[in-house]
Amino acid sequence: MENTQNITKQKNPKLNNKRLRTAAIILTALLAIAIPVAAWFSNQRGMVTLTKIQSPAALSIGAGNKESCAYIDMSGIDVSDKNVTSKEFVFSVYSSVLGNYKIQLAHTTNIPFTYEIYKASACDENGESVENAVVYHSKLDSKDYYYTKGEKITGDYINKQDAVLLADSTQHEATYGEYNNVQKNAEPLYWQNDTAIKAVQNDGEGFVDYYVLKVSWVNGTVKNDKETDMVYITAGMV
Amino acid sequence: MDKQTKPDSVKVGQKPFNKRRFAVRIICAGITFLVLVFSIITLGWFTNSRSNSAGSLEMKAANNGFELAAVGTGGIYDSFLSDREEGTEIKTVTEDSSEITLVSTGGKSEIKWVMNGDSNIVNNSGVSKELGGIAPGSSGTLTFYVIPQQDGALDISFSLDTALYKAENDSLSVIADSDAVNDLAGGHILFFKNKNGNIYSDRIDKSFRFSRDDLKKDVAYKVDIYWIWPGFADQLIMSSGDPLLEEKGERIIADNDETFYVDISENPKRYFRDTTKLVNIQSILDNMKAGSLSAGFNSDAYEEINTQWNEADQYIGVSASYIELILSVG
Repeated sequence: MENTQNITKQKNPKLNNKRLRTAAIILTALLAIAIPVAAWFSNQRGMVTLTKIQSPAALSIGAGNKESCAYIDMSGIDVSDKNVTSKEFVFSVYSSVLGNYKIQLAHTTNIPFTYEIYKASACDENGESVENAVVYHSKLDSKDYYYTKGEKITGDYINKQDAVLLADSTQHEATYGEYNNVQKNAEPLYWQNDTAIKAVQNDGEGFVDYYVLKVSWVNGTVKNDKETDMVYITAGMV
Repeated sequence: MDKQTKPDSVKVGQKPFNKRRFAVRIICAGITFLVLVFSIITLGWFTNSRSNSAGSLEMKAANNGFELAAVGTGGIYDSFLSDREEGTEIKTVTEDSSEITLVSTGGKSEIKWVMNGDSNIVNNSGVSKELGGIAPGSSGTLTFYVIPQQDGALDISFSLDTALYKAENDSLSVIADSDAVNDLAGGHILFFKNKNGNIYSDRIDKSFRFSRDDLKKDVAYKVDIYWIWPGFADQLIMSSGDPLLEEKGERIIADNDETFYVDISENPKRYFRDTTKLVNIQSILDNMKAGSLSAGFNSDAYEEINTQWNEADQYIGVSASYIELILSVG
């Protein structure tokens, strides 16, 4: 009797297994039903699309003082003063990464201007060279920034006619596609510097190079007659 | 006799007692299970009820069934979505009774969202794969349709999520949620429910509602989402008419809309690459709001806030190659 009672208290492993199996079957059945029911409840619907994120230009063009290119202002060149035959503008090329690059210039030819680009370096406003420096007036802080003009950047037009300041037809399609009703001065000239410029590290934060764009004219050939030209400065890593 | 002396015989002796208890348990479990299944089905029937008014005891369905749909063809980068299902083409009518051909979810839980010239994220057919995609300054509209399966009301909470991917050797790998670029994309690639002229309103920050009564079965109800990746921080933080803003572009949020002043102040990491350079962001925002013509205008802070915005754009562009937009319900 004692022996029997003791055994009664012991759990029966076979029966235990059976219970476990039954419980597992029931739970699985519940799960199988619950999943479609839950999905049906939530009325799950969705649509998916994908687009590219364009890589940012590794190079930026800016005004003087590495300010936004929105502040490069070439408007209002006054040609009435016979003693003045040129005007100079400061711009910068900068990036957070180092690399070699080329500068490109594109412009229409309504006004017989000559465009030249010079290397420039920032100079202290209290320094001696300020007198001959090109001034960039910041609209952001209303300060003047001075840049000393260095060597001229050499390069060539890729589509200029030999004797006149007009573009030939070689780049027409790249500019206007199949559209042909284009006035001859609206056909832009494209210029690119010939030797890649090597960027030099600046304060451990990529680089910033300054340039002066010199717009010059021959006395008497240009009038203040509201004529306009479009000028594009671009720079590309090579 | 032998049986009684064997330990097994004791088990046999206990069997009838355990068997009964076990049988009772099984029956109880079975009844519980049946009750549960029945209650789920019953509740489900209520939820999906088309019209179940019973005198004064009116039960209104919380949400009827519906499908989502859009007009157009597959996006130009859909080859990366090859694991997603195609929708089903259907013909139906819009709210103004004009006929329309749509690509619908048609019972599927997720399909590819088709695009067209009016509804896209610069990924519709006709755009080249090289020139397609978004960048700072891009904006557009995305349209989809809700098609109720019953007459009546619908109150749907939509999720609009994004996932960023890096492309390597023509395959995409998802960028981990923990990467700062996810936060920045959320603050730079913006979605709105409304647009009036060039002014956006009712920002969609991951979710929005579609709630309407008196819908008709099988009619396609149009929903527009306006997206923009502003080119400059000025467009969100400078007041309209400010000369510095006008040099660059236009404000895209109404002057009295505080949405972005609040969110930029609370979550600067969604907008700027290095927030340590923008200490006390609230005072910077107040200063920008007062405008560049005000006496105390802080031009250094203005420059820094623009720099850090641009650095964020740069970081998004360098880190992520593709963005997936997931519209979902449920």
